[in-house]
Amino acid sequence: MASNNSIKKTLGVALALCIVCSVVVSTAAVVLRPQQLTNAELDRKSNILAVAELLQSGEDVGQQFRDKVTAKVVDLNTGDYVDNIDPEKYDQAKMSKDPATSRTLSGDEDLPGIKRREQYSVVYLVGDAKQPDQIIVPVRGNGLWSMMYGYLALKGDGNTVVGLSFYQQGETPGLGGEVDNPKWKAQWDGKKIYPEDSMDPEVRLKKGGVNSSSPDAQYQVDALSGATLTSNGVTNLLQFWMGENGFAKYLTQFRDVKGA
Amino acid sequence: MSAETPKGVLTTPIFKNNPIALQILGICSALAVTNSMNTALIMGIAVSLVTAFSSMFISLIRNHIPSSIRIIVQMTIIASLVIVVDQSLKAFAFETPSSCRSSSV
Repeated sequence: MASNNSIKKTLGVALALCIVCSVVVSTAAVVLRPQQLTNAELDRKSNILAVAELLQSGEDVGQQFRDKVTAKVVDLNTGDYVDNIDPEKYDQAKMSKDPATSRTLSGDEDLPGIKRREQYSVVYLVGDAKQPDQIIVPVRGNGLWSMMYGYLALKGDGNTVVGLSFYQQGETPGLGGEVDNPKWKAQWDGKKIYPEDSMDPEVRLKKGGVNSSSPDAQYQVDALSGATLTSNGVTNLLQFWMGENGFAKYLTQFRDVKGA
Repeated sequence: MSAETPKGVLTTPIFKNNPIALQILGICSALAVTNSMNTALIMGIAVSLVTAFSSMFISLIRNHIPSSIRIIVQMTIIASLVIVVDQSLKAFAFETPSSCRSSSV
C-alpha cells in the first residue's frame, strides 16, 4: 500500500507505537513496584536468617525475622547504639551517599572501593540484645565487576564467624560467582576474625588453599579458583568492615564482656 | 515441506531446525538456565508468552506498519513485552535467578 509509506503515516505509526509502548511499560513498572519492594525486603531478611543458620524453610520469613532477630542502629564512629533512629526505617544505602551522614574515605582507607562510609549502620542481634548469641553486620565492597552486598554473622564473642553470605553480586558466574556456592560458604563456619587481644582483623582468603596445619588456618578460607580479583575483593571488604573504620569499635565491647 | 502439516510444525523446530543445536542461536541463555528444571521451565514459559503476544500484536497492526520502519516497530513491541515479563517475574517469582530474567531477552 503506497499510503502506508507516506511520511505522515510513518511518523504517525511511530508516535502512536511509542506512546502505547511507554504507557504499557511504565504501568507495569509502577503497578508492580510495591510487590517487588516487598519481595526484595523478604529476600534480604531471609538472607539474614540464612547467614545466621536460623532460616526454616516453609515458614513465613517476616514472622521468623520478627521472632528471632532484633535490629539496632550503631554509630560506627563511637561503637555505641543509637536509639533515636528507627532501624526499620533507616535507609542505609541512601545515608551512605548523603554528605551529612557519611564521610569520604581516603585512598588508603578505602580498601573495598566504596568511596563513602555512612556514620550509622544497622546491625542484627540474635537472642538477648545485651549478650547476643549472634551479631549480624552488613558488609559491602567491590569485587571484579560489581559491588557485592552481603551479611557477616558472628558469634556472641564478636570474633568467631558463623557465616558470610552475599545477597547481591554480579561477579562472573562459575568463577567469582562461586561466592554463592554453599560448599564455599560452609568453610566460614568457626573461622576467627581477630587474633587474641587485638582488634586488627587477620581474616583473609588464601590463594592456593588453606594449609590446615598452619597456625593461621583459623583466620583463612580458600580463595576462589580463577577469581583472584573477586577473592581480593572479599578479603578487602572484610578487612575494612572488621577494621577500625568498620565495626571494630562496636565489636570491642563483646570481646571485653566475654573475656572478663 | 513437512513444516506445513501440524505434526511438522511441532517437530521441525525440535529435530530438523533446532535453534540451539543447529542454528547456534540463544546458546548463552540456554546454558545459563538449563542447570535447573525450575529456571528452565520459567524461562520457557516467559519466552513462549513473549513470542505469542508479540506475534499477536504485530499481526494485528501488520497492515499499518510502514515498510521503512518495519523492523524497529517489531523490536519496540518485543522489547516492551520483555520488560513487562521481567517486571512481573520480579513481582511474582522473585526466587528466579537474575540470570534467567536477563537472558529471556
